[in-house]
Amino acid sequence: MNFAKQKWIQNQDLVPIYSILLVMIFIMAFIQPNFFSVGNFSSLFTQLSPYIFIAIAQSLIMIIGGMDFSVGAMVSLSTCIFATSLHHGAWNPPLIVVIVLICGALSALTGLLISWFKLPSIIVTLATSFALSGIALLFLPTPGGLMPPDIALWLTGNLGFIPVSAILIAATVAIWAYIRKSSLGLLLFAVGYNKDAARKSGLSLHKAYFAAYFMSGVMSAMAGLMLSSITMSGDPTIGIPMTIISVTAAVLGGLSFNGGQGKIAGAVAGAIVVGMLVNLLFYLKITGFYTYVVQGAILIIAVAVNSRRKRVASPRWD
Amino acid sequence: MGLIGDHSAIGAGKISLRPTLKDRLRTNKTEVGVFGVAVLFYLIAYFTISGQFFPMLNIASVLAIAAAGQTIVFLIGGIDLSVASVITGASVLASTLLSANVPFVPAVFIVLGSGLIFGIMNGIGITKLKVPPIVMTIATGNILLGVILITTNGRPKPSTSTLLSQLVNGKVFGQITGAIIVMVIVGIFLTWLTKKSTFGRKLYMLGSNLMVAKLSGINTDNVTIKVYALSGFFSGLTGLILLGYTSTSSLNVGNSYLLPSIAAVLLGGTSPLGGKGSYIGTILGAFILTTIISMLTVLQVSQAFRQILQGLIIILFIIVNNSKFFGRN
Repeated sequence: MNFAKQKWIQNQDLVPIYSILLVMIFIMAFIQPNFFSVGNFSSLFTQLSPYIFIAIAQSLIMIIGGMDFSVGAMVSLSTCIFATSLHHGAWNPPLIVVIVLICGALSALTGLLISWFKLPSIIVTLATSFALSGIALLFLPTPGGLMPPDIALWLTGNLGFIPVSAILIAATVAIWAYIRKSSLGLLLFAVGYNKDAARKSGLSLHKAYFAAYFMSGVMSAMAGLMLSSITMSGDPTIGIPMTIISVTAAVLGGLSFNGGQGKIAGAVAGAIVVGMLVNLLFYLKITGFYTYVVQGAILIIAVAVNSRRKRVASPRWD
Repeated sequence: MGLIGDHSAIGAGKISLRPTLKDRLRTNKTEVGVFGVAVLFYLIAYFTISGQFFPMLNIASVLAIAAAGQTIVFLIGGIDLSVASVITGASVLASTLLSANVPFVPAVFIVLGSGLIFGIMNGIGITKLKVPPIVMTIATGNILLGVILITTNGRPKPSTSTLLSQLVNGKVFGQITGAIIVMVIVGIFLTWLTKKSTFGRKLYMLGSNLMVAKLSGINTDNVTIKVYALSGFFSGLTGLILLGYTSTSSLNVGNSYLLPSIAAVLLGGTSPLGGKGSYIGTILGAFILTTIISMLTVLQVSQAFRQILQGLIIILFIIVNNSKFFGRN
C-alpha cells in the first residue's frame, strides 16, 4: 500500500464532515456579503471557539469509550470562577492557568472515580454535572461578575490578522497531534477500543481515564474562558445547552460511542458546522426557540447515519 | 442459593417449594437494606426537624411516580433523559386543554396518550435507527422543549382546573392524598408487571444480557419500544399530577425532577447497567431522598449546597450498588 492510499484510508472518515463544512461556508458566503472579510472571520472564529473546545472535550471522552455529561456544567463553573476571581491585574495570566488546571483536576477526579469503582460514565457525569453546577452557584448565584476587560479583549481580539482564539485552537490541535503519536495516545485508543484487552495486556486503565478526563476538563475550562471573555461575565447556567452541542459536534465529526476511534480534526469541523448553523438560523431570523428543535433533529440524524456506516477497517495506530 | 426452602428436609422427603421468609429476605436483600435505610432516615428526620410521615410521603409519592418510567428503563439497561421535557410538556398540554374547556376525562386521555406516543417514538429511534438511548432521549427531549417554547411563547397558561387539583391534593382517610393513592396503584401495577408477568421476565433478561435475550427468541426491539412507551406514559402522568399539585405549569417543572428521579431509582438499588432492581426500591428511594431534602430545606441549606449534595449522594449510592467491596456485581 502506498503512502497516499494509506493516508486516504486513514482520513476518509473526515470526508463527509468537511464536505458539509464546505457547503455551509458557501451558504454563509451567499447570505452574508462580507463573509470573507478579516473582521467577520475574526468575530466568527471567536464566537465558534467555545463550541470547538467543548467538542474536543467530548471527543476525548468518546475516544476512551464513554460519554461526559458534565461538559456543560464544567463550562458554567469555569465562567463563574473566571468572572469572580480575576481582578488582580498582573497576576491574571498565571491565575487563568491555575483555574484551568483546577477544572482539569476536578474532571480527572471524576475519571478516577469511574475507573476505580468501574462505574458507568453517563450516570457518574450526570451526578457530577449537578455537583459542578452547585459549585458554580456558590461562586455566582446569578449571572454577573466581571471578566477583566484587558484579558477579555486580548482573548477575543487578533494577533496580527489572526484571531487569538484560532491560535489557541491550532495550538490545542498541535498538542493533540503530538499526544496521539505518543504512548499516551496509544493507551487512550487501546482502552477505548477494548477495555478488557487493554487491561490484560498490562495497560493502566486508571492512567487512561485520568488523562482523558483531565484533558477534557481543561478543554471545557478553555471553552469557559472564551465564553466569559465574549460575554465579559460569568453565568451559572450558560453551559446547559453545551452538553448536547458537544455531543452533536463530536458525532458529526465522525466520533463513535463505541470508543477507540475518531479524529479531533473531525470534531473541530463538526463544532464549526454546528456553530455556523446556529449563526445561519440567526440570519434567517428564526427565533432562539427553534434552535432547540434543529439541534435535536441534527443530533438524531447524525447518530443514525453514523451507526449505519460501516466501521472502516483501517490501521488504527497511525 | 436456592429458592427451595428447607434444604435439610430434602432427604427426609419433605420438600417445600414455597420460599420461606428467610428465602424471601435473601432474594430481596437490596429492598430490605433500602427499607432499613428509609426507616433510619425517617427517624432522623422525625427527631431533628419533627418531620411528619404523611406530608413527606405525599412529596415522595410525586417523585416516585416521576421515577416509575426511569425504573423500568434502567431495568433494561437504558436511560430516559427526555422525562424532563415530557413532564413539562404534559403539564403545559394539560393546562392548555383544561383552560380551553376540554372536558376533564378526554383531556387526561389526550395527555397520557401523547406521553405514550412520545415514548414509542423514543423506542423506535433507539431500536430501529440504532441511536444510543442517552443520545436519542436527550435529542427528542430537546426537540420537545423547543416545541413547548414555540407553542407557549415561553409563557405557559396557569391551570384553571380545580377538579385536577382536588383529585391530587384531596385527602381520604385523614392524611392520604390522591397522589399517594396514584403511587400505590402505579406500584401495584409495576410490581405485577415486573415480577409476575412474562413481559417482566423478558425485561430483566434484556437488562442482564441483551445478546442472550435476543438469541433465546425474545423480540428485544418490541420489548424496548414498550418500555420507553411506558416511560413516556408515566412522565405524562407525572406532568398531570404536578399540574394538580401546584396548579401552575412552569417550564422548569420537569427539569427539577430529572436528577431527583434518577437519584430515587439509584437509591432504591436499581442498577443503571440493567437487570437488577425493583419499583418498591424506587418508592423507598424516593422517600429517603425526600427526607434528606426536607432536612436540608428546614436547616436552610442553600440551593447550591443542595445540588452538590444530591450529586454526591448519587455517586455514593452508585458506588455502593456497583462495588465488589459490598458483595454485589
